[in-house]
Amino acid sequence: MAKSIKGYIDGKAVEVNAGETILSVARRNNIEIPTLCHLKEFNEVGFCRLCVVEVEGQKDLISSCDTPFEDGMVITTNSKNVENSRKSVLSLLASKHRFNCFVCPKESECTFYDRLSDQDVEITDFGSSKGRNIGIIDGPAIVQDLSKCVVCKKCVSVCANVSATKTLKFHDDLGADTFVSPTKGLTFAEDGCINCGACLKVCPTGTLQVKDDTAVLKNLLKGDENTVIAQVSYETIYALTERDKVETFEERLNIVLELLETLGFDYHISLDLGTNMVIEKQAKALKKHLESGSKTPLIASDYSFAKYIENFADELIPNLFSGKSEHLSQAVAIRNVICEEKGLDVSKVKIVSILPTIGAKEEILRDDNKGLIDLVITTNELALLRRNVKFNNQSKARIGIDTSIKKLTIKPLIEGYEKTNPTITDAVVNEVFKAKLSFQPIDDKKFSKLSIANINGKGIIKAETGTGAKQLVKYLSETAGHNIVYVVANGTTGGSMNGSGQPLSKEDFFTVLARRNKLAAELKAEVRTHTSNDELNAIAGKVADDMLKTSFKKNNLRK
Amino acid sequence: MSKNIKVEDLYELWIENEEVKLPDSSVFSSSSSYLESRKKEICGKCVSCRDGIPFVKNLVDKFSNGKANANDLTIFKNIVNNFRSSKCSVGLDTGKNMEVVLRNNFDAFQDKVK
Repeated sequence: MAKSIKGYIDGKAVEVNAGETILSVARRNNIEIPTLCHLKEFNEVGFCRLCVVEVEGQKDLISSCDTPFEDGMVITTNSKNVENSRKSVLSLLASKHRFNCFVCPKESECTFYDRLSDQDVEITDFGSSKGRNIGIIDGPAIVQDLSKCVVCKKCVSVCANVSATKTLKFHDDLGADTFVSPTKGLTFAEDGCINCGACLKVCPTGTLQVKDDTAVLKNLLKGDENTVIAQVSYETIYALTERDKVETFEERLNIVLELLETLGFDYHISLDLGTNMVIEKQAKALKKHLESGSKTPLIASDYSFAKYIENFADELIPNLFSGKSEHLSQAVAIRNVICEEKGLDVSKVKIVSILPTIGAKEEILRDDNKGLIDLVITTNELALLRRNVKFNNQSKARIGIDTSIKKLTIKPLIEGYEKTNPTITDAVVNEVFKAKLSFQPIDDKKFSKLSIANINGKGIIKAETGTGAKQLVKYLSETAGHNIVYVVANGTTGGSMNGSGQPLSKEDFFTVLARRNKLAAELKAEVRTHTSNDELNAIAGKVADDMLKTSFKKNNLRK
Repeated sequence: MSKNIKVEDLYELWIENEEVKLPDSSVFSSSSSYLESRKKEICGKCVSCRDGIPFVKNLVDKFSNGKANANDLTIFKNIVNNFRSSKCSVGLDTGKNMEVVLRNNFDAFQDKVK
């Protein structure tokens, strides 16, 4: 785009692209303007007024995030007026925020706290507050604490534009008492939430948070009565140890296992068995689907994407792969095969999945899945527990573990970790087509969340987020007969590596993702098969197919 | 000086006459009821107006009740000036009128400080 407009910011001459906002021009020129509600492309609304600047010749301040730079503008971003205004808006927000930071799950990753700190706001001037609204909207995976909301509307924007569920709404009919929540009187689930976690990623405070189940976990681990098994995802191992100065996967695993042992777990197991079981069932289902000559694709999705289909695109329910997910499939095997083989009393076995995404917290409560897994905790919850253990350096002694031991006493339920990296999709495609996948974006803006791979004249689609689900419905109707046979879908923002259950970070989303992917890439990258491990293969072979089925229902929430 | 000056007209009048002010006897009641009436206009979007108008209204009442301290006066000035960062005329107009109150009835507020 031609740079034809010129102006000044803090005395520096700048060139401007037509239509570019003042904030964008400033950032491009390394001039820092603080923001709180701004979310590029999604929420450029000027609500928080933190990004205000002074324009020469105007007495009123204007917000830089939603005001286009006009020719000849002379902008000041750091005048006394501007600085006072920023302090005032932050003080006003602080006057309606409940500061119970010592128990807030946002801990050191709170953007609001950072802004208060870097603008030198004296909170004491405004006294303590019970919060803008009092109340908690509780859910199995997401919890909203209304007392901490700063009404920035970021969550509402991503709920509409990323998740595409429009669960969170900006209730401004009450003017000064504006608040954000699902439709009044409805829970997140009743209002179509798919637990994608997009809102958790953007919330600048601890308002939207993952349901904290650490107390439930501590209760499960108390005493000797239960045999508690941790199912640990690979993504958890990378993310939990990403800041540790260690080199190998084994060292990372050891850190996690030492923590699990300290907390009181009896056994650990990777998700390799469950993953192999899903690969086998999904490959079988895809082969059968191809043989049937169906005109519509088989859709293999995570829990969030399937939930979107149940809620808003129920015509696709018959296309969903009807097998349980990895951690649930594995729990079936543990309860029905492994416990007997290992001589464990299944009635005393408690299974805890430690996962990078939050949807599983709700998934385990569905009728099909009840009684299989006792608790799902996220990597972030485990990270918080780790911080407490570290902080409390007497904790090992306190809970009766000899701190001098070098050899771990937590036992592997099955020896070893496969340490393989490629996805279930790669493995299924390898098994069915004997080919490698290479997705290309679809060259059409309206299908921005879809990409496509062609293998032997057959199309495979990759769809991401709830918006991807919405686009998929449209794409399939527009391309009927184009031989799309398989869809792999992920409704979770950030996928597994940077999912909503992974440790929070103030860093750029893609920086975090790249770092974790790099750690994962250190593992061998050959495409896995479900038959590569004889021991796992033998266990999987003893689990009846019908025990691994899951069903879907129409929720009739189409908006 | 007319006893019938309304807060909502202050800024317009001030452009003509920089000395325009509310009668000291009614400065708190007039300001408070003006700010209360502005609450109905709040759209709820921008912080300066949404949280600023109720906040300033409470402060005016605090002064009126003789419970304000010197720090409240500083906060009052800051929040009134901050209406200049509002998104639309609801906050901007409220701020301009209250700026005139603050400028020309300042003594009334100062006298109420504990």
